Amino acid sequence: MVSVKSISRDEQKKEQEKVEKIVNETYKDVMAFLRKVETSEKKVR
Amino acid sequence: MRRIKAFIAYADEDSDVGENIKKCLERCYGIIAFFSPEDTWTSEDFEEKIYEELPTSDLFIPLISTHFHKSIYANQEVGMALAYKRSIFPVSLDGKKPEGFISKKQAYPLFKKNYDPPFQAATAIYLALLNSKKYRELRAFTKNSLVHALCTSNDFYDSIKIISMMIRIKDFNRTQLTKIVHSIKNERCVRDCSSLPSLKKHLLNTYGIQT
Repeated sequence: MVSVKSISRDEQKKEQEKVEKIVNETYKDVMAFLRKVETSEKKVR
Repeated sequence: MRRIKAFIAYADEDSDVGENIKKCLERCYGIIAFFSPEDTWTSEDFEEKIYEELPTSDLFIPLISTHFHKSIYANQEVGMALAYKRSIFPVSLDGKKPEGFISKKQAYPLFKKNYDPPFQAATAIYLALLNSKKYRELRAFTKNSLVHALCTSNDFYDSIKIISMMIRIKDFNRTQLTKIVHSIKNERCVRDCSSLPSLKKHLLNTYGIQT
């Protein structure tokens, strides 16, 4: 059986805020990156 | 459920960051990530395993760096990925650009990220799989992978990361939703996770599922 490390609610909440911020920022970053990739691929064609 | 398979190509000097990206891809996004030393060093023949894994991967991820450009194996793996017509998502670790046959490809710039870069790389790769038209045919497997991560999570921090991605997806199919609901009821790291209320709200508002 896999043992699970217990983490307090407060710690989880802090991590949740951090993760949500990273995912939101990475989403904006990746979408801009994908647009850049598409544009450069069109130019190559 | 068929999941995404990724092949990570890297130079030995970058193996630490590569190994952490592999862990994040597997634990947070359920992607089966092949990373040669850890996966082959001890038992099977290293080259044979690469011949076996690379052609069957959905995504080839070269970790571009100064060391990468000098690595004979890493560069030969790029050649194999092109020959086998694998989708390629280069990630730049130090600002170096892809060279040779992949020089026209843009690399995702990981070197600009300073908070938990491996998680950011894995998140960028997952978001690209989910949102790029290029990977449209892999979308169902991309979502299967995330559902698998939730069903097998045994860490609260991983569950938080999985759920934060899950609440962005509005088109899970019935099988995937059944598995999500099962995890909410049965998996401790999902059931007692601080992010669970946002997942429950998403299921209710998007799919009309009360949990």
